[in-house]
Amino acid sequence: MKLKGIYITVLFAFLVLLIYSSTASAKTAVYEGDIEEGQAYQLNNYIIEITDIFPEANTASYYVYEKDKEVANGLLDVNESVEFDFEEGGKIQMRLKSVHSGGVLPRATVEISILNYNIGDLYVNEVIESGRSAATFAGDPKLVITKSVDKSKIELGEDVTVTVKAKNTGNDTANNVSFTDPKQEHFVLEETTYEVSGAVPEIDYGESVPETLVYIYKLKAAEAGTFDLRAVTATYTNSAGQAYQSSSNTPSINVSEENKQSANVETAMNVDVSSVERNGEITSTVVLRNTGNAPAQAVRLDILVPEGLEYVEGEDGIETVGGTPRIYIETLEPNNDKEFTYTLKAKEIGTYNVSSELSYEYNNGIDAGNLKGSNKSTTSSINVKEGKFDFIIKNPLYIIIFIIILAAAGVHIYRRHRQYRY
Amino acid sequence: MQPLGSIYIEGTGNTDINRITPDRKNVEIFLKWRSFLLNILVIGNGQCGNRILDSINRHALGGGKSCGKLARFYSTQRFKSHVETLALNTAINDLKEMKFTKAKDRIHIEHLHGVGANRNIGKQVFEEKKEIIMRQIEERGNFDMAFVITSASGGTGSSFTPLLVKEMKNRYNYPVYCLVVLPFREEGTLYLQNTAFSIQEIRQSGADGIILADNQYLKNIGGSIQEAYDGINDMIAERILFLLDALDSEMMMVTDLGDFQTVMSGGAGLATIGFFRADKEIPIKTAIQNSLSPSGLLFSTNVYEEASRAMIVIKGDRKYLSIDDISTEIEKLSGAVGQVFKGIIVRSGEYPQVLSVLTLESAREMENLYSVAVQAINQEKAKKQRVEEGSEMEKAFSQIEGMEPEY
Repeated sequence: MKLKGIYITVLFAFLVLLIYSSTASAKTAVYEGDIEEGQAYQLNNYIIEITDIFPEANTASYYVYEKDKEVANGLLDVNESVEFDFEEGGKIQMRLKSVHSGGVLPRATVEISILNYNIGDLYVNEVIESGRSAATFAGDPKLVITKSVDKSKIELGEDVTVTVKAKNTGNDTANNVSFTDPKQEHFVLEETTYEVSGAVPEIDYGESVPETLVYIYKLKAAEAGTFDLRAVTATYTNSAGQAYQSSSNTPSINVSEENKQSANVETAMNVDVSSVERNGEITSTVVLRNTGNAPAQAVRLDILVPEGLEYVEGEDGIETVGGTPRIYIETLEPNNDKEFTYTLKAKEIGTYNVSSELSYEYNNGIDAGNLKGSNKSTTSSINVKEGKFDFIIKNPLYIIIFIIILAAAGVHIYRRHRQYRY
Repeated sequence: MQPLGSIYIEGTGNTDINRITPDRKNVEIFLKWRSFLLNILVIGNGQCGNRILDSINRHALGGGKSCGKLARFYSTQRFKSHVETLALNTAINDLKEMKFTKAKDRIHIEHLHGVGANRNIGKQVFEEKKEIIMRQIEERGNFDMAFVITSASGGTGSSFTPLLVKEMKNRYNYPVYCLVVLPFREEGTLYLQNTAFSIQEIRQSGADGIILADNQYLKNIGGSIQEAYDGINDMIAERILFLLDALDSEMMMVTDLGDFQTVMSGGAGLATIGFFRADKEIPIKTAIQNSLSPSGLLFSTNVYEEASRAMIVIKGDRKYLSIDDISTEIEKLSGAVGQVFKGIIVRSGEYPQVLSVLTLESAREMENLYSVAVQAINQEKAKKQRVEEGSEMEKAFSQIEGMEPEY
């Protein structure tokens, strides 16, 4: 079974290689026929000109041009072939099959094949009967896209106007020009003043042709920093349908954050004693202060009372929610503070800290939504020590003695009362 | 209850060994110790006597005038001597008002709710209840001296006291002194009449001396009637306690019960007490003079003219007690009076206090009182005669004789 699997794999690999090798070396005949002396054959921008035919010698001379540039020439005998490069990686092979002298001018029968080239990419494939001088070639349109900004330094939240223009500096008309302007990070599109609708059918070339306005829009800076705007790209074709692509420049914009607002609520928690006897009371003060420059909203402070302490009571602004004392302030204006006092009772001996968790919201004046802020705070340590009468709890004998003394005092008072009662 | 080292003895000074706990040997030691102290009986008779007695008991709890009601729960009466107190009254409400006298020492002599200032009824009640009263005294043991405190003007006190003193003198051989409070002159004719007869009868009862305290006099020097009422009880209590303390204290110069008896037996059988307590450092001469001045005395008298014998007891820190100054002042008094006994008690840290007991040869104020009392008696007599002779009312009543109401 294992061997069978290996054979299948090897066979599959062989077939793939075969297909590739046949593609790589594929030769497609594009023309087989006669060409009179002085006539030419055009394959895209390549011209094969048959300049002289010598029937008696069974030869013909040829010249190969890429547009006006000669790239090869020579003399072929019948059944002899010549091969030259064609565009990017392709090759053209021409074989002289025969020569004839029966007409006004001698003719040569040739077979022209193209190798390593997609035949579909041939946009000109014909005999130019009037000769090479009658050949026409497709140009290269070249769109220069300019992306400009009205300001290169702005503050956070400020607008910048972006203008995109295009000019064809090539030598052929740019057809079906389609522009793409990718979404810009760190900025918010505030307003679009102008935008080309769909693809531009054509943009002519030439100095006298004015620039084509593509976009005018405003961006609002959402973050501070120095950012390069992304390039606008355009895709288009020349008159021969060949595809081209151009990209704009990427102007840089520096965004400072001087305009950005924020709330910064600080918590200060204090206790009136550092040491207290068990069952003693501790007065704690919480001060909430907004040191930012934006109002803090929905300010909420949860006071986390450790188990060894107990919340007794607090000012009106403090309510107990699910056993947790909570302070809630609708709005705390900048440079304002609010103070709250509450009372704790020391339940168990130990060292404790009262901590708090603060949360609030604010608007930075730039973003539509509110931002959130939070912090944590804690008091200095509170040492709960043994109470005055804790020794009674530790040693019940004291209670017994106390009860005995109390009883004795009670008996004494009762006896005295009886003595004086009339 | 009397302290005895680590044990306490139930009782009231009675030597009945069966009532004593817990250990016979300790009891014997206690009794021996107590035999060196004076046994004194203080009886408060009637409403006034009851109140003064209660004030004495309050002062004895400590704290003086400011002693609160709760003191009875945490303190005990601390008399220098062995003192028994007894409150007698026909009005139970007066006994209930007492706060610092033990219930067993408050004896209700049952007769309605008092005798209504009628001494005749009071005397009759005493005769009927005499044995009950005397048994209460008997149960409290034998004494070295007794004080009977009473008002001269009321019902129970003024009528009981002469008879009580007489009965005590018949049965016991210890001296009995009466402290008699004289009424405000404007209190009414019945009170003045009672005062006159009561003092006379007390003198005739065999009392060993009558110490006078005059509400009218204290009001004149002290202010309002209310202040006099409020103040006199405390003033008398303070003086009696000082006297009892002095009689049983170790002294630098000694006065004792014998001296007191000698002083009280002098003069016309009437006496009064002067007292001064310094609240700052003052010369002892000034303290003695103040005790003899009107502000220090309980009864209006000119000491240097009317006194017969005197006993001066001085107490205070040694540094305030200049023997020369004391002698000078005593000599000045004895030059006018005759016999003056003096006693000095040294108490560290105390400002000078002086108690003077003075018997009187004559008492101009008493003569005045009797003049007013005679007028009051005549006034009452005239009223009674008018009622007896008056036929107007009879005529009015006779109009309906033999008639019946018609409905």
